[in-house]
Amino acid sequence: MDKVDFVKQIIESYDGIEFTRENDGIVFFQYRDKEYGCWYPDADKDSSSPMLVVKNDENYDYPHILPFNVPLEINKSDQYRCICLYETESTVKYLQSKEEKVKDVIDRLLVLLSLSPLEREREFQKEFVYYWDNMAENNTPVQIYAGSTREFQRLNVYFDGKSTLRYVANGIKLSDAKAEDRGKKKWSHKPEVPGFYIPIEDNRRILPPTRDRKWKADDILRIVCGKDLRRISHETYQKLNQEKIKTQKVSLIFEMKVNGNCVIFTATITFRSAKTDTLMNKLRQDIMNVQIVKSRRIDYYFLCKQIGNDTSLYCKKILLIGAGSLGSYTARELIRAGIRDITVYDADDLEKENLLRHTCDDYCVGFSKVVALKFELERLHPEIHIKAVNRDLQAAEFMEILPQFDMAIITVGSSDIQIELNQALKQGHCNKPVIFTWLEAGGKNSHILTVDNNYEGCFQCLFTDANGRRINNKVNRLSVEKTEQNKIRNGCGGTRAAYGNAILLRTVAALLNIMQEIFDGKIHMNKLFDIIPTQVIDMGNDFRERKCQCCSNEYSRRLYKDDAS
Amino acid sequence: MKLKKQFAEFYDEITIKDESEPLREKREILQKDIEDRFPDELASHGIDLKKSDIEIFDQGSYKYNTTIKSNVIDRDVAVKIPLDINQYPDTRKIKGYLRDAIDYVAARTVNIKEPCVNVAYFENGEEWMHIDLPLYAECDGKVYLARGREFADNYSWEIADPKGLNQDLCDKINGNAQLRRIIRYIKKWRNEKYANSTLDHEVPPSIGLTYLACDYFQEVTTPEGDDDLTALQQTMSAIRDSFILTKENGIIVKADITRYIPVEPFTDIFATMKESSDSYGVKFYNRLSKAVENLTNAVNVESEHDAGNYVQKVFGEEFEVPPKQVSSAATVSKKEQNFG
Ligand SMILES: [Zn+2]
Ligand SMILES: [Zn+2]
Repeated sequence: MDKVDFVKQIIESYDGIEFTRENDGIVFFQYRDKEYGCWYPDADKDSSSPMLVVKNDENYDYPHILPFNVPLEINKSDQYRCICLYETESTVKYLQSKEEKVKDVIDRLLVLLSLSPLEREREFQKEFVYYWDNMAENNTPVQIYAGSTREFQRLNVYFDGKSTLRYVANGIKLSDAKAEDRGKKKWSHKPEVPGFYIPIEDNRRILPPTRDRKWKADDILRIVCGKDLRRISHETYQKLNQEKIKTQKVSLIFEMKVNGNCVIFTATITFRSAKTDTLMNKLRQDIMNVQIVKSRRIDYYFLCKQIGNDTSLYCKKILLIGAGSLGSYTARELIRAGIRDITVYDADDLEKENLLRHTCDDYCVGFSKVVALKFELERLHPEIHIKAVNRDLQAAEFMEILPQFDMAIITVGSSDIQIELNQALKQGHCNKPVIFTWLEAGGKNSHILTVDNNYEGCFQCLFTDANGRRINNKVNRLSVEKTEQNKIRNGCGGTRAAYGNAILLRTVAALLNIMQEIFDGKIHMNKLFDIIPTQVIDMGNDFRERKCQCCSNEYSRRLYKDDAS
Repeated sequence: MKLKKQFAEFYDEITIKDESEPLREKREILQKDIEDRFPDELASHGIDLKKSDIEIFDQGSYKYNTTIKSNVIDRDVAVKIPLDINQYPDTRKIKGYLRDAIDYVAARTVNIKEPCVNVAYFENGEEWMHIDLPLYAECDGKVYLARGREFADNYSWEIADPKGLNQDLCDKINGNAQLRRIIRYIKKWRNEKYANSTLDHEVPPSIGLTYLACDYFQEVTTPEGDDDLTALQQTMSAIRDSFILTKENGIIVKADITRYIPVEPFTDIFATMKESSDSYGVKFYNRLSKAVENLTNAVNVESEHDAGNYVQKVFGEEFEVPPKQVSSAATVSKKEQNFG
């Protein structure tokens, strides 16, 4: 049977639907005084499915009827608007017969058209930004850096001189703020259009603009001082009444929650005059024009939230000692897990041989590893701040700076440095959590040790036997002979251990979880973790030695002190 | 549990949490006007009142947080002054003075009603809000409400305890989230079913419904959370069962519900309704029975879609009916109503 007849037949089996005509291969039908078309290209392909359209010769604003022309691959292609009836990937087209597919789109259309006003509002709000952007005139979205506090504020405005505007919340420092472009500062202040961030608490009756219904002063006033409902908090309202405006334009950056998602939409308001008054008064009495502006919220906090990162990491500061392979992998994943402030110490430069197990790229070769890391990580997002210190961190300095951080992570491979830092930590009575992590030679096993002065045991316990005598690291799993086999010697004392990136990835994966547990207060003792290729093993605190020369004296001294007091 | 999501969304839709800013502003200006101008007005009639002796406080649903959305915002604010009611027994006059003190701006329309002074606000010819000002006199340690219309023969200072009433309701409702929701649902049902009512005293008063809901509240929770549908069905059904019916030839000719106010004057909240017409009680009973019937059906039917349809009959279109589920397992997934 002809494709058109096939569709026609199905359509005519519905009550209340009447076939009207066929045009461009589209089967048109009438339902409730409105004409819709069913277009079924490539009907013989399993993966194709029919589409419903409306002719684009009139305004028809309804949720999910796309507000713009869709170029169908047929003649007169720009005259149709598509109706979106499916969420992406919500159905497997392959499983349905041709007939089922047509029936399914018609059924869905009938459900869509029978939505109550409230249901329509909900569907409109789900696609709010979509409609909003469609009515906007700017091509480059305005960048919004709103931050973690959801409260009214005047944002700082920057312009790159070309097309990009940035609205930045107070307290957010962008690493590229002072960036230069051909000798000139890239970002400059733009005070002519101040921006205000306005969180919405109650979304009821807030609908996006459509071609039928453009936004006017009333739509803005409904949000800020609607009679029927309080849509913004009283605090926000009061601040709108305090804020003095001297310009003829302002941008209002609204944020509302729809199904738990944060919806940001920006409107630029032009007032009739530039007469100084409060923002609230100007909005109430002086709006001349409401311009719809495309904007995107892209602050680090928001991006972390969007992907499900734990936002409690947002303000944590990490001291990272070592920017070798393990250090670089650690830094990169800390950043992606939601930590934006890292200070990293390392004296080495990046060399070609490092590249395959370092996160930095070839063009960083020759630079110091910390600078390379800073360059690489800050490029990811301007809120990321890496303080790069191109030297080894000495024990005394370690003790001096540690209080500024929430945690130190030591990724250096040398046992002597680890022991030195550990001793400083124990003697300095610093109660910040510290993580030691190292790879065993052999490239298979690695370890994580958490050390917090509040609990028993320290890194040096690993080098101590039951009688308090010094021994080599007792928790390493590989025998000395095996270790030797895995060393590559290149003369004059230089050795290199052979290992690949798998051990780096699994060590860092375990490290992220352990860090999170420490910050969540879930680890109540110093713990050793062994990481073998297929497992992370919690070894508890059996590693501690009561006769450890570093921590046992310290421990008894503290006990004594407690008794005395 | 059925319709959990629908009840939650419906509740969010009908609830008013706070005063809107225009309402708050208008109310604050009005309160200030009362403080600034009422003493002068009284003084011109030889009554001495210090500004600092006027006490203004919240009353009604905004006080105990059971307000629901309605076409016209309705706010109750009590005004209390010290006054010797024996010296000034004519409540109509005192209410008139309050009216005269505040009736000087075009934005307000002030009228004297039986239990209060009513201040209405209009925009484009339509009333969008009114603030009711019940006027109380404090005399010899007791509080009296000024009753009576402007030109009525019946007027009196009726003993009252507005703060005691507030306290009693707050004690009952605060800390009981499901009860608070049930009260709002029942008020919404009342608004829906009495939307076209124009007769005085026909509509069951909010305070009465609130007390009935408190008295007959049946808490229903399940491991999945509160079951508002069943709680509402049981509560409304218990309220219905508390009516005293009089039948003639099997037909209900009288349906009386009684709830005494637990503070002064300890009167029956539904007394005026009863005195006005027997048919009002019957109508109340019948409408309530219909609601109970629909809710019972909703509780008993298996499909959520059908249950939703029954509940929608109680509340109107704002209550959403969940989509029909297709039983065949193969087609279930593709019938989910999530549009793209
Ligand atoms: Zn859509
Ligand atoms: Zn130790």
